[in-house]
Order: sequence, then C-alpha cells, then structure tokens
Amino acid sequence: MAADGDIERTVEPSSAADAGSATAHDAIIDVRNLQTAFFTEKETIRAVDGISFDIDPGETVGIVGESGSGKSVTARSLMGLIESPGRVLRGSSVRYRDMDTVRTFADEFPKRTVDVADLEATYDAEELFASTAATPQEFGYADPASVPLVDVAAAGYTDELGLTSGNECVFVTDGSADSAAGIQRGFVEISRLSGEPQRKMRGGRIAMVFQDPLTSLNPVYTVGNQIKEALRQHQGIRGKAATQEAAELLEAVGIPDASRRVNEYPHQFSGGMRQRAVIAMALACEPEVLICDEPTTALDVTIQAQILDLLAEIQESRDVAIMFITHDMGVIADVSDRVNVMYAGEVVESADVVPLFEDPKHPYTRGLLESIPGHQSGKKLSTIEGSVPTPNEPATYCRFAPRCPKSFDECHEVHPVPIPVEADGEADHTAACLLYPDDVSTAEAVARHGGRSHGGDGE
Amino acid sequence: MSGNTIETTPNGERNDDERSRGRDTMVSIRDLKTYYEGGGLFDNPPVKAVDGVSFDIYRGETLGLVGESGCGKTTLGRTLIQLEEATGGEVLFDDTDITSLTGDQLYEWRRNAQMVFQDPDSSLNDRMTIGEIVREPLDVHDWKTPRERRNRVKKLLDQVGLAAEHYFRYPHQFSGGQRQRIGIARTLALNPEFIVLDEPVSALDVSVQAEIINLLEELQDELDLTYLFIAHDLSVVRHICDRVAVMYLGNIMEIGPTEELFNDPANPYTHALLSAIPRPDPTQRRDRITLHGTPPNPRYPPSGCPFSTRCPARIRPEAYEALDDDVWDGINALREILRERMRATRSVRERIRERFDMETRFATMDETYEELFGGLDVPPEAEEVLQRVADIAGDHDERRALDALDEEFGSICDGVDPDGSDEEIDPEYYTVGENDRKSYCHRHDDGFREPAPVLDDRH
Repeated sequence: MAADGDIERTVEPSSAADAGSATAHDAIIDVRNLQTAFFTEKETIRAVDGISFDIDPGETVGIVGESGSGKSVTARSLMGLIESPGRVLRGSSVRYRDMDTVRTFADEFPKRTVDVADLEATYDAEELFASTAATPQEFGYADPASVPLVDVAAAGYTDELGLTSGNECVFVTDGSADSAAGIQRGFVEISRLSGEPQRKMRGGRIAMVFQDPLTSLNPVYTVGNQIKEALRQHQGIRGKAATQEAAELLEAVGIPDASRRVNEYPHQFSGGMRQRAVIAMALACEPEVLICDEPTTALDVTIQAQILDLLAEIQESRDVAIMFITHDMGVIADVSDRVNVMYAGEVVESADVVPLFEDPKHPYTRGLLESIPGHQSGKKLSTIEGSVPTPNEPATYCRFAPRCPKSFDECHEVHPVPIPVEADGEADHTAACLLYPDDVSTAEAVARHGGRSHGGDGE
Repeated sequence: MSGNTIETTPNGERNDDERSRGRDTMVSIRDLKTYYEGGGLFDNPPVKAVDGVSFDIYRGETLGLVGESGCGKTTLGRTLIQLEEATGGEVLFDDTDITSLTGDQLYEWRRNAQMVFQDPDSSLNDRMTIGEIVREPLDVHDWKTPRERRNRVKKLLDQVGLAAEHYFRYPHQFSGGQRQRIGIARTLALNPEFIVLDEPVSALDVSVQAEIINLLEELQDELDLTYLFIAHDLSVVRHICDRVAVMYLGNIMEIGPTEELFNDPANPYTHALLSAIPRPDPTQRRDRITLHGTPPNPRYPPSGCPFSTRCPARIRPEAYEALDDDVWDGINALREILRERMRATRSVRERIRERFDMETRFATMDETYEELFGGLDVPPEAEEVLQRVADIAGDHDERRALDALDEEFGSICDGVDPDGSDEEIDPEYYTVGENDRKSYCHRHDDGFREPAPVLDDRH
C-alpha cells in the first residue's frame, strides 16, 4: 500500500507544484477535476468545468471571479447543496482528508467504508477504461495500467463494473479498514456522500456562511434558538447548557450583551450583527473548514472591516481552514494566503497571494486588476471588452480568447490547462493560458497544453 | 478658493481641469434638512435623514458623496432634485430656491436635473422597448415632433454606446452594463445640466464598472455636465470625483478636493473610512482602524457630534485622560448597551416579569459589568462611578444611568459644555488643508490635539 501512496502523491492535480512536495499530503480538502453541470431543456451549462485546487488546514484560499464564473457553484458542490437540474458529474472527486473525520466515519459507517487494497484484487485497468467513459488522460496518465485504482474509484467509475456499489464514501488507502484506529491514510469522498454521513459532514465538519445574512436566518425563531438547533444536531447539547453555549458563541463573535441577544429575533439585529450571528452558528459545530460565500458583499466598508477582523481572529484561535469567495480584489488581497481566479467555470490562474498581485500572469487576471479604479495612473480606466460567456459546451478552446488582448490562432483550437508559468521555476504558480510556460517557445508551450487533457497534469 | 494655491499632485491633469473650469457655483445648499416624520399614535420623533447640511456644487465638476448605508446620502441626492420634499433650508439652483417651486415651475425646472439609479433591473420598465423608455422623458415634456424624438433617441443610443437597432428590443435582452447605459441615455434625453448618479456602478462587475465610468467621464466632457456622484465604493469615487463630501448620520463630516482628502484626511471618520477599504495589494497590510458598533439610529442621534459614539479620537475629560484604553473601550461599550436597551421594545410579558423581579432577556447588569470590566485595572474613582451606573441600570432606568455616565465621562464631543452650562454644544466646521477643505470636528480647535496624532497614539 505504501506504493499506492506514492503514486497518489505524484498525481496531485491541483497544481503540478504540489506534486511530490510535502504540502500535498497536508491538504484538508483536495478538489480534483470537479465538474458541476446544470441540465436544462435548452442546453447543458457547465457551471464548474474541471477545476482542481486544495485547501490546507488553517489556510485561507480565496476564489475570485466575476458573476457567472462559477464561484458559488463550487462552494455549493463542496457542501453538497447542488439541486436538480444540476449535478456533480462523474469523474469529479472532492477528498476530505482530516484523519479524525475519516476514522470517525469509518467507525460509524462500516458498510460505506472501502479498503482500496481489497478492490485491487479484482481490478483490471484495461477493462475499466475499455468499458467506461473514463480516459487515463483525465487522471493525468497516458497508460491505463498506471492509473491508481483509488483515483478511478473515487471518481465513481468502478461502480459500473460492480467493484463498488456506488454507496461507499470512506476510502482507506493505507492501514486496515477493520478498525478505526488501524487506518493510516484515507479520505472521505464528498461527492459520494448522501444521507446520514452527508448530514454529519455538512455543518459538522464543513460549515458555510452565505452572502445575505437575512436570508440565512429564519425570521420566526430567535437567534439563540437557531444556534441551539445546530448545537443539538451536531453536538447533542440541549436545554440550559445549550442556551449558555449559544450565548458564549455570540460573545465569541463580538456581539455585546450576548445573554440578551440570544433571545432576540433576527430583525432586531443590524446587518453586521446578523452576519456575526450567522458566523456564530457556523462555528457552533466546531468545523474544520469554513466556506464563506461573499460574506461581506452586502455590508458597509466599516462593518466589512469588522467581519474580516473577526474571521482572522477565528482562524487564529480555532485553526479553521477558510475558503473565501468574493469578487472584490481588495478583500481577496486582505484575507487570502492562496488565490484561485475563476473564469467561465475554470480556474485560469492559481498562485500565492503576493505573486498573484505583484506579477499576474493570465491576461484575464491582469485585465481584472487593471480595471480596478486607482490601480493605474492614466485617466481612462482599462476595460475587458465583451462579457463572460456561458460555458454551455465542452471546452475545446480557450474560453477567454474572444476577449483576450493577446489571443492568437491556436487559442481558438487548443484548450489550455493549468500549467506552471515557468517550465523549471517555482511551480506553485499556474496559469491556464497558451502563453505559458513563458520560458519555452510558443509552439512548445502550445504542445504542452495540447498534449494534456482536462484536469490532470501529473508528471 | 483661489486657483494658485492648488499644489501640483501626481494627478496634475485633474487640477488643470479644475482651473480651466473655474469656480462657478451651480448649486448652493444651505442648512438643508430632510426629516421623515414619525407621527403615528405615539408621536415618535422624526427620522433625521439629512440634518442640516451646507455646501456648494460647482459647474462642471463631479462631487462625490460617500458614506455608509443609512447615512442619508441617497435622501440628500433625491432632495436636491425635489424627489423628496425638504423639511428646512434651501437649495439654490442658479439663485432660484427650488424647494419653493411648485406645479408648472417645478415641472419646467425638472428638465435641468435628472437622476441615474443604482439598480438597472428595477429602474427600467420590462414591458417597454428601449426606444420607448428613452423617449419617455421627451414625450412627457412634449419635446418637438414625434419624428424628431425618434431621431433624438437614436442619437442618444449611439452616444451611450448602443446601436440604433436596439430601439425595438426589451430590457431583458440586455446585460447589466448595457441596461445601465439605457438608464443613462434616458437621463440625457432632455439635455440636463445636473445629474445625480445614485450608485450607478455598484451593481456591476468590476470590468463592466470600468466601462460605465469611462462613459460617464466622456459624456461629462462632451456635454458639460455636472455630477453629484453617490457611492460607497471609495476607489471609484477617488477616480472620478473632483471633490468629495463624506457623510455620517445626516451630517457632512468632511468636504474637500479628492486627492487631498484621500492623502491627508482630517476628520477622524474619514480616517476610519479610508483605512477600512481593503486594497488590492497584499504587501500593504496597513493597520486598519476598525470602528466599533454600528451607526446610531437616525431617529435618536446622539447629542453633540454625530460620530461621538464610535469615534476613535474622541476627546476625553481631563480627569480621565490617563485612563487605560481598554477601560475606555469598556465605557463606550457600556454606553452603547445602555442606549440600545433604552430603545429596545419590551413586550407586556417582559414588563410584568421585570416588575416582579423575574429573569428577562435584559439579563442582570452585574453580568454585563463583569463582561466589560472584569480583569481590567479600573482606578477606584472611576470604578465607583461605573458601579453606581450599573446599579441604576440594574433598576431598568437606563436614561438616568446614561446621564450619570455622561456626567462623569462625557466631554465636549458628547455635547457637554466644558464651561458647565446646560446647553448642548455641536462641533463646527473648521477649514483644514490648503484648498478650502472643511471638517466637522472639535479636534481642529486650537485647544485640542489634531485627530491624526491622536489616532496614531491610541491605535
């Protein structure tokens, strides 16, 4: 099984950067080739089209993009909140790697736990790729035989062959699945969750803060009641103890006079206070990951500053990982450690926050930064011509090409994949653009993009 | 102000503009008040949305109006073009007081002043074609012949960057940015001189926002327009405005030339507002001044300076100058809590419970006191006063508790006359900087230290 672990590390797809480096194993959430589509009568909208990134514990990952770029759908996919006609497509994998969670889930749901080593015996790579829609390329390999079974199983392709029943959501890659303590490595596959484990994950392990605090609070219950509901569901705390705990949570998020506030209704709170209450509710179950979907967009700047301070404080004291979604470049610069820029359902650039702002590589990121007033000296603001397209067909070309000031012929024929911006340099800065890597000739760069398929780039 | 005192800034272009435009006053606002009457059964005090503002708007300039939501900026804009009736004061438009206009005179005058609204979705009628929407003001004012109207509309569409063939389409066929263009075309139909732009770009993505800002600037040059630009996004304001007025709770806190105000803010509120904007530059992590709490209810504004309840540079009484900052935070929080409790409506049930000394949501004052001052080193003379205040508040007499608190810890900022008279003292406008900049704060008086060094010390 040790070998399996090694292979797994080499196919870390979020960025070839992480391949082989220690951080790859530390990620608490590992998103691989996530695809979420909405099937309408008219067309299929690929709102999220094969994105990969990961989130380390205690880190803030920012996701930035214009409206319609797929930011919120990404967050909802992670929370399992996609509703018909939308669905997370097969081939997507979102792995939750917190070992404590894996052991707890394996213990509670033995029937939904699978030891990958046991599957290995009946696995035939050739047969799988021949009889399903899967291609080795989407996992980042040329040869079917070298695709690790765990990747194929997590992406859901083994269900068709009867290797797995379609129910499994806990995968054990190292150690014995028989007892929780025996598990060395493994993950919970979020895209395969349903029923009870889904409920335990959502809210209990990953919590979400939405944009508009008024719609995420129920107007007919007191704020305290709503926090107590979360405490009852996930922590099993009831009665007076729950009221006490709710008041402490409100105090922890900076609401003064908390013992009075617990008994008040959402309409008696101001906008900033409501968002604090929602954050208190999210923290009630002590999650390891907090997804914030535009949490400050509806608030004034002075209140926004308060909420950003609060989130930073929470992150420091509770060591939660935060996925922060916003369209505001200023907020992203303030909160993130790492930034993913999304455009039409794809991650077009991914880098640590300082290099991204100092030296943006993708023409879209540049355009976005340049159109912020005050970021340039000239009187006229630079703009990006046109508007974000609706991604309603598989990408066989660069979706930004029609608006791109630097596009050339190949941009309309070759689909760029995230690739390190320098062939040999620091590899944790990737861009999905045919101009990169910029230290090789354009023809060679194009060939590198063309040679790879969507999602995987594991060598 | 005289033109020769303008210092050359990096943005020299704008200053040149200012000089060539001259300083011809177009609108003169004197002590303007707009109150929304409370009335009703209990004769509530009115909501003081705009509470006595005075300033001038010069011909050809763009005056920015910024502030948090609820500060009265939209009401002020609407009052200027008589969409709201002024409660007091006057608005002189080329020496005509428009608050006194009625009937036909008002109808005629309205050609001169128009408004662009924030939300392009709700400000266009979905059942009218674009042509009809833009033509409506011409129809209302019976402008020339129908044929000429149609030609005028086509010309207007062209002017705002739309095509003549859009004439017969409906609003839903356009994107947000294009709809805002339609709104602008309608505004321009009657050739107004003065336009109130109420958050015209807040609902748009950053790249589209840049296009609209460029369009507004082009139109201003072409048609000699004067803008009042209402916004909460300060980076947009900095880009487009010649002068800026900062509003808080119905009052103008500071008004002056944009670059000067942004580079060297005078008023403590301007300081706080500017430091709260997240900058799209991760390396520049400046110390943010985070304001506590939320703006007070405009129905019950605080006495003295409107900003005194949140001011980070509030003047402290001499006797307590040496008091620890944490203790001051506690005192301010206590005042906030008392104010809030005074306003909170009690249900009949709560009143009865209170009467019989039963537990209510207005939890015991001892708890609150412990929460605020527990663990702090409060000097005995202050502690004695605070205990007394807490005791009075414990008897549910918040009014008296507040009075006792103000008596001891109040200063000129809270309207307490240092000479001991009972009259309330409001701040005055002091001229600061070199270019006719005004700031509404006691700290500019010679007897006190300026806000900037105080903020440095306390922060």
